[in-house]
Amino acid sequence: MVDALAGWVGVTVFVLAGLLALGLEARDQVLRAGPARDVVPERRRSPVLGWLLVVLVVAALAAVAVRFAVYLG
Amino acid sequence: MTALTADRDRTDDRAAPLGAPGRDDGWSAGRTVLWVSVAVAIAAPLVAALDPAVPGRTLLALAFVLMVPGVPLAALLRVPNTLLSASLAVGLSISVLLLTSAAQVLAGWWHPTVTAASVGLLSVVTAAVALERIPGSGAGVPATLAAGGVAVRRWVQRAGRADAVGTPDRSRLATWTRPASPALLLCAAASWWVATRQVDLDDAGALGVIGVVGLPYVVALVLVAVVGAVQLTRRTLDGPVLAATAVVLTVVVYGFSNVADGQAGVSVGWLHVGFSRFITEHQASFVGLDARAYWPSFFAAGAVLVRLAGVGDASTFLSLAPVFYNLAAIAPLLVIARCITRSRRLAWASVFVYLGGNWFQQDYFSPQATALLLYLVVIAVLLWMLSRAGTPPTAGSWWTRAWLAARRRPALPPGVTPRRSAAWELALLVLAMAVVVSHQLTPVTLVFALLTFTVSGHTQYRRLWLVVSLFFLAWFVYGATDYWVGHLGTVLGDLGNPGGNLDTAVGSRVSGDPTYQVMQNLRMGWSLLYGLAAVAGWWTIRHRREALPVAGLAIGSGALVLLGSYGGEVVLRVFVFAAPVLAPLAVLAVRRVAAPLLRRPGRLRLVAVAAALLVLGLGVTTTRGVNVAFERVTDDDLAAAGAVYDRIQPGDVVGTLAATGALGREHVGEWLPLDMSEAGCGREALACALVEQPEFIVVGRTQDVVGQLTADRPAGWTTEVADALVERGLYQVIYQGADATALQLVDQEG
Repeated sequence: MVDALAGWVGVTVFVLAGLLALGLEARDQVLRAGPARDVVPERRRSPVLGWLLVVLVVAALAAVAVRFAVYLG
Repeated sequence: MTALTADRDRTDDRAAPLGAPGRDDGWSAGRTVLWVSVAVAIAAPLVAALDPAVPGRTLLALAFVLMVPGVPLAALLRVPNTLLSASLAVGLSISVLLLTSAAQVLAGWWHPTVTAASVGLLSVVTAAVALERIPGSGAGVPATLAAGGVAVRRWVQRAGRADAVGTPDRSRLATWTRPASPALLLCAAASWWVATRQVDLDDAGALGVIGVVGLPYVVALVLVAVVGAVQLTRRTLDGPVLAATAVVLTVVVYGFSNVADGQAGVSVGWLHVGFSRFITEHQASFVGLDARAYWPSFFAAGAVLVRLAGVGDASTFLSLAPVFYNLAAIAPLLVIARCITRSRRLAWASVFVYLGGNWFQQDYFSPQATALLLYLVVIAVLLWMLSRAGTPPTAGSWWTRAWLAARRRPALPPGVTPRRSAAWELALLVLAMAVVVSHQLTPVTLVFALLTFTVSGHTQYRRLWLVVSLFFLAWFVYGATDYWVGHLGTVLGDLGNPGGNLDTAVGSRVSGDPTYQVMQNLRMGWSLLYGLAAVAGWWTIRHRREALPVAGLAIGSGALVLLGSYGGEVVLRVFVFAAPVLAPLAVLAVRRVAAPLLRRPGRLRLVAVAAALLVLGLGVTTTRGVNVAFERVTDDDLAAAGAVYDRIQPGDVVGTLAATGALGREHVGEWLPLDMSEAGCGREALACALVEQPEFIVVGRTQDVVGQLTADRPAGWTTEVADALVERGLYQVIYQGADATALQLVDQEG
C-alpha cells in the first residue's frame, strides 16, 4: 500500500487534482466570468467540488511525503 | 506637461492583434503573417526530410521554431494588443517545441522531422481556421503579401505612438529625425563592427571588456544614445525608430564579445550543445550524467532545431543567443512596462533601462533564458489584463480587505468573451508547462507570480497557480526521482536559510585580484542602485491598484533566496526575474527625481537623456563584461578539445585547472571531468596531476586568468604545470596553441 501510494496512486491523485482544478477553472471561466462581473463572486453552485479539490491537493502532498519517505528512508 | 513627464497615454492598446477587427491594415498584416507561417510550417519539415544543402535553411528552421504553431494559435486567441499577440505567438511556438521535444525523449520515440511535420500540419489547419475567421478583401495571397510590408510597419509604429492625448498626428513623424535616426544607427552599427575587428580580448584582464573596447565601441554607444534621446524626447514617438534603436543597442552590447571573439563565450553554453548532441546521438536524455537530464526539453528542442537546420550541432546558435533572447524580450517587456508606467514613452525608456541593467549573463544558450522568455509572456498577459479590467474595490479593516481581495474575481477586459478568456488561460497553461519541463527554478518564480495575482485579486485565473504547482511538484517528485534521491539533502538543506544562501552567492564572488574585486563590487552596486531606484519608483505608484501585484512580483523573485543558493547563483537569478519589473519602476523614480530637468524643453533635456542612455550602455558593458577574460572561449580552446576528442576512449578522465573552455561540446558521458584546482582536488594542481594521472589535461589562457583573478596566481601558472608534466615525461603535447594546450598521458599510448 505504501509503495502504491508512493507510486501509481500518488500519480493518480496528482492527475485527479490537476484535472479537477482545471475543470473548476474552466467552469468559472466559461459559466461565471464576464464583463459585468465587478463584484465578489456569489456562492459557488457546488461547494462540494471545491472541498474535493482541497482533499485531493492534501492527498497529493501526502503522496509526496510518502514517496520521499519510501525512497529516502 | 512635456513628453517625458507625461503620466498617461490614453491611446493605449488600440493596436490591432493578429486578426483583430476594425482596421484594414491590421487584417492584412494578420493574414500576411498567417500565410508566412503556413509557408514556414510546410517548408521547414519538408526541407528537413529531403535534407538538401540549401542556403537559408538555418533561418527557415528558426522561423519554424518562432512561428509554428504560435502564429495561428495567437490569431485564434485574438488578444487585442499587437505586442502581446506577437509575444504569445513566439511563446506558444517555443512552448510547443519544448513540450513535443520532451515528449519524444520521454517516450523513447525520437523522430524530430515527423514531429515537426505533425506540428506543421496542425499549424496549417489552425491557420486555415484563423484565415477563415479573419475577414479578407478577397484579393488573394499576392495582394495580402503586398499589403503586409506596410501593415507590419504600422504595427510597430502603433507600439510607439505618442503620449499625447488622442490619435497622434502622423505628419509629426515626418521630421528630419526620421531619415537621420536610421542613418545614425547605421553609423553606430558600422562603428561597432569596426570595434569588433579591432578589439583584442586577450588583453582583457581584471577590468574586463570595458578596458579593451576602444573608441569605435564608445562612438557606437554615443550614436545609439543620441538617437534614443532624440526619439524619447520628441513630441510624437516614432515606434519603428525606437524599435530599431533598441535592436542596435542590443546587438552592440550583447553581441560584442561573441562577435569580436568569433566564438561564443560561457562554457556552460557549450556543455548545453553537448547535451543536445547527446540526445541526437542516443535519442534519449543523459540521465545519470547530469541533474539537468530530468529537465530535458530545452536540450531536446536544441536537437530538433539542429535537425531542422541541418547543421552539425547547436553551436551554430550560441554566438547570437544573447542578442536573440534580449530582442525577444522587448515585446513582452514593453507590455509589462506600459502597464506599470501607464506611458508608452516611459515603457520604451524602461526597455533601455532593462537592456542597460541586464549584466547577469543568463542569456546564453540555456534553459533558463528560454524559460525566462516564457515567464515574461505570462506576466505580460496577466499585467495587461489587470490594466484593462475593472477590479471590485475592497473596504474595511486590512484583513477584511485582504480576504475580500483574495476572493474577488476581476472583470474581463472590454470586448473579451468568457470563452476567449478561457482560451487565454489554456495558452498560459501551455507556456507554464513548457517552463516546468525546461528548468528547475523558473517554475517556482512563476508560481510565486501567479499566486501574487491570485492573492491580490487581480486575475481571472485564480487556480492557475495551483495547476502549475501540481504539475511542477509531480514533475519533480515523479519525473526527477533519481535526481532528488541523491541530492535531496542538498535541495532541502538550503531551505529557509537566506543568510547562508546570500553569503554563498555574494561572498564567493568577491575575492581575488583587488581590481577584480572592485569590478565585482561595481556589479553589485549597479544592481543595488537598480533595486533602490525601483523601490523609490514603486513608492510613486503605491496607491495604484497594480502596486500590490508589482511588488509581489519583485518580492516573489527575491524569495528565491529562501529556497537555496543554487550553486551560488541565486542572487543573479533573483535579479534576472525581478529586472523586468524593476526597470519600469526605476524609470518612474528617475522621472520623478529628474522632473524639473525633463520639463525644460530644448537641448538640456536632450543631452541629459542622451547622457543617461550612454551611462546605461557603458554601465552594462562594464558590468556584463567583467569576467570576459575567462568566460570567453577561444579558437584554441575548441581546437584543444577537438584534439582530445580525437583520442578519447570511454571512461577516460580529462583534467582541467578551472572550468572554462568548450570541453563539454562533445562526448558527454563518455569521459569523466577532473577538477584539478586546489579546491576541487584537495592538493596543488601539479600534485593532483601526478597522483590522479588523468588521461588528458587541458590548460589554457582562460584557466590561467581564473587563477590570476580569483586566487592571486602568477601569470602563466597553468603553463608551468603543463611544462612540468611534459618535462617529467608523464604527458605529451597533443595540441598547442597560443591560448590552449592539450596533454595526453604517455603511458596510455605505450
